Amino acid sequence: MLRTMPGATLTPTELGDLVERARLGEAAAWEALVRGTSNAVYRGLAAFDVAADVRDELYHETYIKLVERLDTIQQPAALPAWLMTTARNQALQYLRKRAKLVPVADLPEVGSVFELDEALLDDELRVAVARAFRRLSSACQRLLRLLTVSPPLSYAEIAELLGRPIGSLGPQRIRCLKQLRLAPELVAFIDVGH
Amino acid sequence: MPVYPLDSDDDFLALLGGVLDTIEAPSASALEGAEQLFALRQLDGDLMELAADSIESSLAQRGAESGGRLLRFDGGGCQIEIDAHFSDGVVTGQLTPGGVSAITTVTSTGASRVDSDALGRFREAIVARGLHRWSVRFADGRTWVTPIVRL
Repeated sequence: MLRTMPGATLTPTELGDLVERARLGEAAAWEALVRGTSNAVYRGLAAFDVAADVRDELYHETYIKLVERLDTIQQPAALPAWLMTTARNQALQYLRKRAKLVPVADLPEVGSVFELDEALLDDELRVAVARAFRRLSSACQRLLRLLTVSPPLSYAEIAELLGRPIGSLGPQRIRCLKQLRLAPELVAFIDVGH
Repeated sequence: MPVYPLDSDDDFLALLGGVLDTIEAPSASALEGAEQLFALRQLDGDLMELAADSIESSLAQRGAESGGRLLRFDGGGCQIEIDAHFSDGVVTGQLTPGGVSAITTVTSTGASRVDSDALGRFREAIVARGLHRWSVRFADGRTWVTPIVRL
């Protein structure tokens, strides 16, 4: 039996296998599917200015959509992108209701809404990375979140989620990683090969 | 202080991904809640659409007057109306088209079944607040399932 931990990487083959077994009624396969894709969904929701309890609710609503439509998923390999698109739509729907007016293509300009619990991080480097990440612009945070989700998203999927041209992602990725490396918290840790 | 060879973008992104997986992960309770949704899966039947909800629609006034929640689901010419009376602990429903049909109510804690009368009316107890969905095998043999709603 395939066991997955939150954040574990699922291959397309494993995703297909889990979806098929869940369709056949295997609860353990559904649980593995949730565990294997949860971080991607949560990472997608982190781009929005919502409180923690709302984020949990939107996360929950996203999996409600999946359990409703499990039998209609045509391409299990594209499931992470489907989940993140669904989460994004749930978040935008919530924000529209909250603010009455939030243009679809105009995501809120906010930084990370997560409280940084450094006790969760087990070494100085990881703490430094987390602190440096929070210094980045919200645009960089969004892009890097989507570039690091597991299972990975394609550039085309990321471009669609961000509502931006695919050609702009590569240059922005370079700029964002450079900013991250040059953050005061990280400079001391990183040998950039100069 | 150790120095890390993070000149590779892939290595750097992998490190960042690991950090974000730790600090931006769903809580254990949220994860558990998502895992438990499997109980609400329905194998058979086509998915209806939520056409009206008294929380958000013009039916709100009527819902407020009855002290409950009104829902209407549409699909393929079939319709299910749900009127949940929380004060009485009862759900009444109306199926269109009418005729004796089997209605299965599914919650995260289990499922129960009632039959409608010849006019498509049914009545059942609300077991608990929370997530619900209904599966109806209509008199013509077709089965429709509703989206999941929170009562």
